[in-house]
Amino acid sequence: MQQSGSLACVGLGMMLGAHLSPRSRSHIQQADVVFGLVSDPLVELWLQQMRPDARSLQPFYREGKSRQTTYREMIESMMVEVRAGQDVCGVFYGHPGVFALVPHKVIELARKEGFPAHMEPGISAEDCLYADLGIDPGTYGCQHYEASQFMFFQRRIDPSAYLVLWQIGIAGDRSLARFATGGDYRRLLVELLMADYPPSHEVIAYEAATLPITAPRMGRLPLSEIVSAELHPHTTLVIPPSQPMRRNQAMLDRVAQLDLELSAELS
Amino acid sequence: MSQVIQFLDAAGSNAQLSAVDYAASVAMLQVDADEKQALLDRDHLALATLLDGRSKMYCYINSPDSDEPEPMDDDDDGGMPEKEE
Repeated sequence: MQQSGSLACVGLGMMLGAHLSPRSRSHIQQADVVFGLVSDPLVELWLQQMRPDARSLQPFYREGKSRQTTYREMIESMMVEVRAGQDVCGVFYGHPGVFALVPHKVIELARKEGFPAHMEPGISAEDCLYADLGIDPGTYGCQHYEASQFMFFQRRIDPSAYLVLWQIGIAGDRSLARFATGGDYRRLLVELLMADYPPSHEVIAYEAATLPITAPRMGRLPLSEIVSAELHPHTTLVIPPSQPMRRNQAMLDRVAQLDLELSAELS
Repeated sequence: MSQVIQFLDAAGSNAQLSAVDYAASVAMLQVDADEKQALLDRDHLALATLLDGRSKMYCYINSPDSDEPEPMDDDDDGGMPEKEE
């Protein structure tokens, strides 16, 4: 007999009132237990008013405490209820699966323990970024990295595509216990980027609007000024292409040959 | 539901809410004068304070290296943290 208990992780989207899907709303309304991790205090109040019994995951964060511990505690607190046979809904801002480790990990664990678990997509900051900045990721391609991961690992980037760096406010933090890193760490990031981008290259500090009474932040500045720019936990760095795309003539020639052969077969 | 939160929720789903209609809608709300002014000023920080929203919100839920071993926190006793005052 299948054990009771289930898990659904849903996203509220970025803007209060604008992005919540009907399906995700129904998960929130119908769950036995609701956990929430949202990015705006007014959005958290909205969730609390929708579900007065909703449990915020915010108190698990603490300056100086490793976020790996925080994430583990968040996951365990949700799993306690799933194991108790409850239908649990984890509510997250944006899309619960985009640059969000906790929803993926808790779903993975729930499934491993034999519980039904799934994720409902939501509108992420990435989606808002495309809309607000008028960027189509399909035009030149778009690379996304967590800023610190971009610094700690050797990545091959294509400067003829967009490059988006997330969690730029804590770029370079290895402790996972800080909520901001300063200019010295960002200077290292800028030096890394200057291998492919000139210091004058215009980049965009982007923050999606979370309320209908606020506007997105779309601050344009030279790459070099990232060192001293005011960056927040929810700031994303968008780096437009610095070079035109370069044709792959060898591949184009091979495709042309294939087209000829196909035409010959059909005629 | 708080009228302010309800109003913000409705405003978020109304793509055609003009500045004039916004101000008129705020004027009709049965809320405290401070809340009304904060809405008119579009001051979300003031609204959060007036409505006793959480003073500090964290939004990092991703780590750069998920393969790194977890640290041994000295004061990690697991479970839900105590409710904030």
